[in-house]
Amino acid sequence: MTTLSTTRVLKVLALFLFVVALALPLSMSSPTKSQSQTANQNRMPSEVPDGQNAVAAAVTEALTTDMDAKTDDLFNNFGARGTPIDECVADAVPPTARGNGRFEDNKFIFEEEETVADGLGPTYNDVGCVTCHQAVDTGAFGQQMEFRAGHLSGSTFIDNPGGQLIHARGTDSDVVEHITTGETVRSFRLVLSALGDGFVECIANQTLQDNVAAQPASIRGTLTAVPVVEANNTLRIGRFGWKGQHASLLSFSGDAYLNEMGITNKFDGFGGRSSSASDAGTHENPASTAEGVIDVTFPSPFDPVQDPEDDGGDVIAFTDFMAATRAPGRQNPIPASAVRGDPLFNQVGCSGCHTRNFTTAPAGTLINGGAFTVPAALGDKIIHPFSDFALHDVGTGDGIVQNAGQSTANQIKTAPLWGIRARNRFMHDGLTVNISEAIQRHAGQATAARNAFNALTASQRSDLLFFILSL
Amino acid sequence: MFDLSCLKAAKDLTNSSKALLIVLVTSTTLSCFGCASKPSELGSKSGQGPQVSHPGETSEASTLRVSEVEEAVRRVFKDNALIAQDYKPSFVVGDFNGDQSPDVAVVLKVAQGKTSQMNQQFPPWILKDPFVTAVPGMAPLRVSDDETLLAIIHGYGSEGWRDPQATQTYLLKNSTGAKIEARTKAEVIAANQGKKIPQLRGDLISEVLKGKTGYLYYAVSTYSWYDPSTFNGEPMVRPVHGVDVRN
Repeated sequence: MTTLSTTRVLKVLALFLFVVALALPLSMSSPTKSQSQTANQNRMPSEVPDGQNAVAAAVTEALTTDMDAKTDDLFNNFGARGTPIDECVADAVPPTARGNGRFEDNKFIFEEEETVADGLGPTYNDVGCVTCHQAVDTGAFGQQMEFRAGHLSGSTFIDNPGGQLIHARGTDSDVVEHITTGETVRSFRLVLSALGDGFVECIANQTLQDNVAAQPASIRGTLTAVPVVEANNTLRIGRFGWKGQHASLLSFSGDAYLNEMGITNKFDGFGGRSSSASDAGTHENPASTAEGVIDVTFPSPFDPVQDPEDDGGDVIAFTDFMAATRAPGRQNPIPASAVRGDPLFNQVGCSGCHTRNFTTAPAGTLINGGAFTVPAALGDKIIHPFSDFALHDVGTGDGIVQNAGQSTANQIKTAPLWGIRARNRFMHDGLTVNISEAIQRHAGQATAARNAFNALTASQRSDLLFFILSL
Repeated sequence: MFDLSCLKAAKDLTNSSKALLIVLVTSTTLSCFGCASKPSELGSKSGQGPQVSHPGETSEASTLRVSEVEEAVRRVFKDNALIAQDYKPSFVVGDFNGDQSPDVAVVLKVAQGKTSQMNQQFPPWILKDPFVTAVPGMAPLRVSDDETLLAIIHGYGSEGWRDPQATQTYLLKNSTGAKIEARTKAEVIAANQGKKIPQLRGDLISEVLKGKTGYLYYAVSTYSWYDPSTFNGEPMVRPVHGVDVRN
């Protein structure tokens, strides 16, 4: 009897020790480390089998633009080119499905400014795609900042009531958004370039996964798995946006049309809806006003346009314009100092995250959850984005959580450096105004690379900076 | 007695149960050791507050820390800057950038004849003036002869500013006042109830600067000055839609 009782005690003790053994490691956070790659990999979707419909073709360099607005060299041969639109002669015609429109029509629609009659607002950030994506050429950079806010409940990020995106503008002073002092997590994010993003869209999931898997554990990035709105929210590896929050250009465009311009459309993904949801494209973002959160959706007094405000044509035009742009090309000619700095980029470890080369999936590959087939103009192309499209903790994290979980609050996507010579505000917050200082702001997973940069001679540091400014 | 009964009970266990018990005890022990090797929480997180050091003190621990700070300064500045020994204290420790790794803020003097090195084109530190907002095209800040500067060396990992990899440094002009102390975020908030407070990420550096008591705090890309008597919003430029907005 005593033995039995003692055995029970031991069993209870064993159970207790087991629980303690499990709980202790979980309760200990390592504050400056990146997230567990294992957990991340487990939630990665398997893309529609690459290669199933693939067409064998030689791998070639992607076409590039010289990043000069005076040169007419944006089109990469995806779809038909068409002719520049003259409004006095004919209106631009939007596509009805991806790839069946004309580049010049899509570009014209990308450059249009929206009005209240088009559905602009009630809350919005700007009046057109090109107002943010314009420098040096249509589709490229802008100095605009997107404002996001929320607060912490314990260690959990909570969106600002009415949504974490705080719009800069409104069509009515009563709906201009304000945050309370309680929304203590605030972030400004700089506009990214969309040039060459069609190639980025055509990088297969596995290619991105293999690249991250090859990174040393100390700098390994976190890939996101995000819904493709046009594929019934099938998950795909994210690559667009500072949090890698979009995987397809159509999802990105639909989101931006609603969230940046206030124009509802079936691809806007509001509330996690896919484009096939019966009520897709029928909700405006609520306005977070000083008086509280206001529903501004039609037929509210703030929104005179019935939803969806776009039938999808504009969104597909934006998408295909971006998909048909060439990749940012290098400075030409490349200065001797930049040539000298080229190998230093790898030597100090920058290339560990700022991945130099990717090859897109073969033409014919089904991507985006089966919603898009890689066209010949974008397939089997070598690109040089200088990003791994993964999230990292480099000490500059903004604390904002989007659709990759709480663990990514202080992680930011590796900034693609292609075309960086065309801008003069750096890092995700645009608060650094020279490359040297941007490098010094790198900490966390980028600490070793920063220290290796600092260990270079002064002339080597200069050469490496010239190399970066030649991208 | 208890031990004996446990041993007796252990004898009665099956071999598999014994193996399970051994695994569990081992894993628990390892977890505890793992716990001990994790980064220790900073004083501010455990309620102890940031550490303040006085180089003038004669204790062995204090002397050791001075040498450690000197080593950290050499790591970043080589022989181009020295700890300003006339400042008491000349350094304070806290988690100023809020990454849970201890940082050190140290008052420096430019070393004799090293002004040009302190103004090198691509320095391994970030030179800032909390009272000047950087904008593209602005003439670069410069360090002058005999200038007193405040260097904040950010920590790396559990060893913080002592870690050989801890080199990220903000070098601040016009930021060395009197009565330099480290203060936790909670202390500053409590001391300034009813007043506007900037978005704080970590500990702050309290000091008397230009005759006013205020705080230096980490503002993501720089360190800013918080004067509770005059603060009316973040003193930073936020370029929104082409307009520099001061809020």
